Amino acid sequence: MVRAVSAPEHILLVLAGGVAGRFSAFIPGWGGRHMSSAVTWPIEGGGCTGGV
Amino acid sequence: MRRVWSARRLEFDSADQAQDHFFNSGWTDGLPVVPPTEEKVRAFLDTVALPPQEILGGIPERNRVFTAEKAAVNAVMAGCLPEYFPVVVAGLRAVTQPAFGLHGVTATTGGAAVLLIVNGPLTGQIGLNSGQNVFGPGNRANAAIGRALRLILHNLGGREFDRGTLGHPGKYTYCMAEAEDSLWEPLHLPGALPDPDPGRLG
Repeated sequence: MVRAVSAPEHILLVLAGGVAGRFSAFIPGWGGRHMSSAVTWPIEGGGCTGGV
Repeated sequence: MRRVWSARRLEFDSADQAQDHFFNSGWTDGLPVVPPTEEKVRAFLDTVALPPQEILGGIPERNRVFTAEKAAVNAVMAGCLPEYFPVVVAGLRAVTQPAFGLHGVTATTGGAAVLLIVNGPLTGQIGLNSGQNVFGPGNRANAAIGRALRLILHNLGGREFDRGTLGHPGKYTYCMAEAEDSLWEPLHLPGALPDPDPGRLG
């Protein structure tokens, strides 16, 4: 058996979408974590707060 | 603040002529764009208080850099409102971090698209959708912010490097807000921002 990811913490869970049904989507990364990893960055300016 | 612009100034006799020029120059994603006037670009830069020549990131492998001015130009073209621009800037800074591997992501024959997930109170302020049809059409902020990032990568990052075999519809736009009114921890946790560890996700 080949693992899809090397560790559970490498799966990001995000909640979004409408309330009807129980739908989910799997959005893979590209090339493995050594090629590309998700990056979080703060939003600055415009009097706003949040993260990307 | 006195601004020094690097972009060329183009003049057209009509809006249609401007659109045709942008299409024929390869500066669009195939859809019409909003002409980036100086007034509009200036308004976008005002939201982030950055000089036009501020470098937001780049693709070192291609010797390409993204300035605030050119990012704003493309954000205007994408149909953004000025209040969306801080998100575009943050997204651009994020994807140009080494851990993201932007060169490979945007060149791959696999045709990967870049997904922007935004969270925090800002999403409500600018009307970024986290609910029904979150990946679908109809929301200006979702559509324009994702499109802005793609146009920046297309026009400033070197479209000639994109070797996607099949491509991906997310290459038109791919931006969503996270629904944070739940039991799940928001995506930007755990850990402090920005994340210096390329092995950490979120």
